[in-house]
Amino acid sequence: MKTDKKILKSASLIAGALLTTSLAAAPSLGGSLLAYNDLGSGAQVRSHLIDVNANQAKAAEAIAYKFGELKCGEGKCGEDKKADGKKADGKKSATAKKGKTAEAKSAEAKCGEGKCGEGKCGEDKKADAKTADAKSETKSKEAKCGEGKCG
Amino acid sequence: MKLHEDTARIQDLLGEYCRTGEDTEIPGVTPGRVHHYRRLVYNVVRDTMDSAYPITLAALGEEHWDLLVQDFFSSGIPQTPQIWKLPFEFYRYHASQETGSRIRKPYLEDLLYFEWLEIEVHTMPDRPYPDFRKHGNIFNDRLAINPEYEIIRLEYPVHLHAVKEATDLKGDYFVLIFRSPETGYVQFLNLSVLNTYIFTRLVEDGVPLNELKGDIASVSGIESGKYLDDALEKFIGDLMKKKLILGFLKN
Repeated sequence: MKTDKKILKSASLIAGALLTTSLAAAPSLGGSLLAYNDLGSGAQVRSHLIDVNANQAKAAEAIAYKFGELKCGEGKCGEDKKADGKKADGKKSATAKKGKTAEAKSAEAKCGEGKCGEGKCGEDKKADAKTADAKSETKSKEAKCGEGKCG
Repeated sequence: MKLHEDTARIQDLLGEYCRTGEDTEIPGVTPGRVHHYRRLVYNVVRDTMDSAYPITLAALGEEHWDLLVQDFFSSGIPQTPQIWKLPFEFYRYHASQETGSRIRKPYLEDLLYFEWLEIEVHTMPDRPYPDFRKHGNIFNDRLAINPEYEIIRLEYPVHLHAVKEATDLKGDYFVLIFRSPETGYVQFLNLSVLNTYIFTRLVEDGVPLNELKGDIASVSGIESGKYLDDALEKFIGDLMKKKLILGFLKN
């Protein structure tokens, strides 16, 4: 199952070698060498990284829209409605997909975490209706595959 | 039971069509309907990948992500009959194809692997716990390590930052992923290289911390003394609270 490329079998050797080289390169590192941080549970890590990556992607899209991509005749003269329509469609599908991926799946249900039979069928509609607070609450839970998805 | 030769051939044709979408003549198929099979099968694969790699999906965006899934589905020739293992084949395929380099997203392999490992650690078979007691001395007694963990080394800090920032921070990063014995949930720790060295020496050597202090001091360049003792005590104490270190070995 493992690729063994990244999983460290004799990490102490690698880490030892790295320590020696990094200290040689930057002897003042002393204090921070002992620093480490708890990233939290899988759901917390996912939720955080999805948010930061999605925000960045949105920002990049906005910049591209503002500065770059439009050529003469695209989305300006007479094409407003079309462009608006596209935009609206885009938003709609983005929202729909966001609902499907970023919230319903990504933050909570992770493939392989599934325990079949834990599902609460028909609960996804309830989940959709929840408020932002409720969403953030559910995001932080360790819900598993099959929970709140069926139906 | 061995399939009839014709049946096997037709199954292969249908499978090939479902993966690639390339029109081929498949005996017995009603024209205009077969594409639904491809759509339905692809939806399952796409859904599985979306669930397994939500961070990558968010980072790449729908369009790029879909290309990656389609590429894997049509050219990767998935082998596993267990759908939950399919994401691992997806990771392996793109790592072998060096997709990240090709699409100028060098962090891709790290990110896919980081995400996959959560599934792997969560679903890994139980590993036998050592016999341990709760009370002892951090420096003089041998520590009982929770065996359900993996440490990975990443080139890009995709576990800490958005991919755009991570791309500019190439280096050596260590992530420890373990399964909590109490909850079964997967927990993540971002370790410094020294923490990684200390932890792995404890696991590999199976000796009390006191016997490693000299090596730790010499490798890190930190003078062995109160500062190092305090730092080690805090580090090991935290790992005990998190149940990555279960206690002290009985024998």
